[in-house]
Amino acid sequence: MKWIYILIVLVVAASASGCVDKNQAETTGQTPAQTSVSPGEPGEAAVTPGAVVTPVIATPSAGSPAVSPAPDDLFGTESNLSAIDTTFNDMNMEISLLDTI
Amino acid sequence: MKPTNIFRILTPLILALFILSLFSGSVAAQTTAREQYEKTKEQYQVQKEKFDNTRKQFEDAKKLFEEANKKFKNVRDNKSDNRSKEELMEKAREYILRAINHTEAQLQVMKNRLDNPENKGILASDAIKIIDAHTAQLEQMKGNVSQATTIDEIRAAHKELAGIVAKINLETRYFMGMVLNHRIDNFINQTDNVSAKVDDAVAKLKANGTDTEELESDAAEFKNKVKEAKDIQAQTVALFATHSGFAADGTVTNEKDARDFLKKANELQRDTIKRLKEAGKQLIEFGKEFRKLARGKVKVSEKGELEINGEATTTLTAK
Repeated sequence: MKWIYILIVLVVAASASGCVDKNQAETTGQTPAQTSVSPGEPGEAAVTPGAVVTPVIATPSAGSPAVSPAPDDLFGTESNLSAIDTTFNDMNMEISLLDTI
Repeated sequence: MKPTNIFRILTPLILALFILSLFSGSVAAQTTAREQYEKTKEQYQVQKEKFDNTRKQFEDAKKLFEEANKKFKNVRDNKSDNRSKEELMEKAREYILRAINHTEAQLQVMKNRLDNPENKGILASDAIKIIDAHTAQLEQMKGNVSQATTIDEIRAAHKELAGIVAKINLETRYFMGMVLNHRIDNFINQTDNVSAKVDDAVAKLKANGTDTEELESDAAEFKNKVKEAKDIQAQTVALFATHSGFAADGTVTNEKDARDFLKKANELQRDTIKRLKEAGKQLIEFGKEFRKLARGKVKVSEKGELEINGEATTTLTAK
């Protein structure tokens, strides 16, 4: 009985301090190595050393749905190219005013 | 409840929290990078949405002003009409205020990009200060436009805004061009690593007696495209080093030179991206062929390593 009580206390304490579920989220979500720190369009991934150094092969356990590479994109390069494209589009932001009013 | 019972409950709870708090650092470290990524992405999306919204409002106000202007000209051809004149002035005021909002939103998108930890240190100058100075200037102008009482004041504000917007447009392209260069450089640097892994994968299959002719052809084409991209990127980097039309801090010194420089840089970057996309396609082809050749032999081990014929390989490592 005493041990059950201790176990309950530990589980409650673990939940309160955030040890439970956070690791789960880490493994099911995309890792920074794959997508790294980058702003972007939904699903945009950054081009960082980690992104290509650790090639990703699409398996049921690899990556989050948001940035899962195509099955044949062994190295996860497509998301990096997409990130480059988004930056290129942002580069061409331009405001066009009337010549005169 | 007796005090002794409360102590009996609280003591192990506090002890457990204390022990768990010792591990909270490592948990926090694991989540920080991901949280940071999510936070930055979210902030960017907020700014981008705001930019899109202000663009719509700006375009609408511009259209309404043009319609009012047309109407005013028709009335003027007959006889002057004070009501039309007032309406025109209000539409012009609204159009300029919307233009300022939209310009500020564009600045915020740029600021967000430059503030990103990934891009820290890529600019020699403090571009954020330049952006903040523009924003302050625009805010002041907003006040002036709101208080303007004559069409001449409105026209003067529009002229001033046009000058600022022209510079901001150029600086946006310059700063974003630097960010893009950084991304392209990162990508290109890592393709060397990918090339080595591609070679390793081919060698492993070859050692198994597999015909890798097509695989090798895909790999060669990939390397070829990357080399072309590298050559063009080298030209882009050299061009940015001259930053013609821009001061070292990224502010515009000569609009015409800046425009010519950006046009050339844009063409080069577009070309580099095209080659990199072609290289990416080749990698996809390589992946398809690799899967085909290794059919039935590919297995992801418990360690997350890709195994060919039961042999763990460092060539392709699953997460």
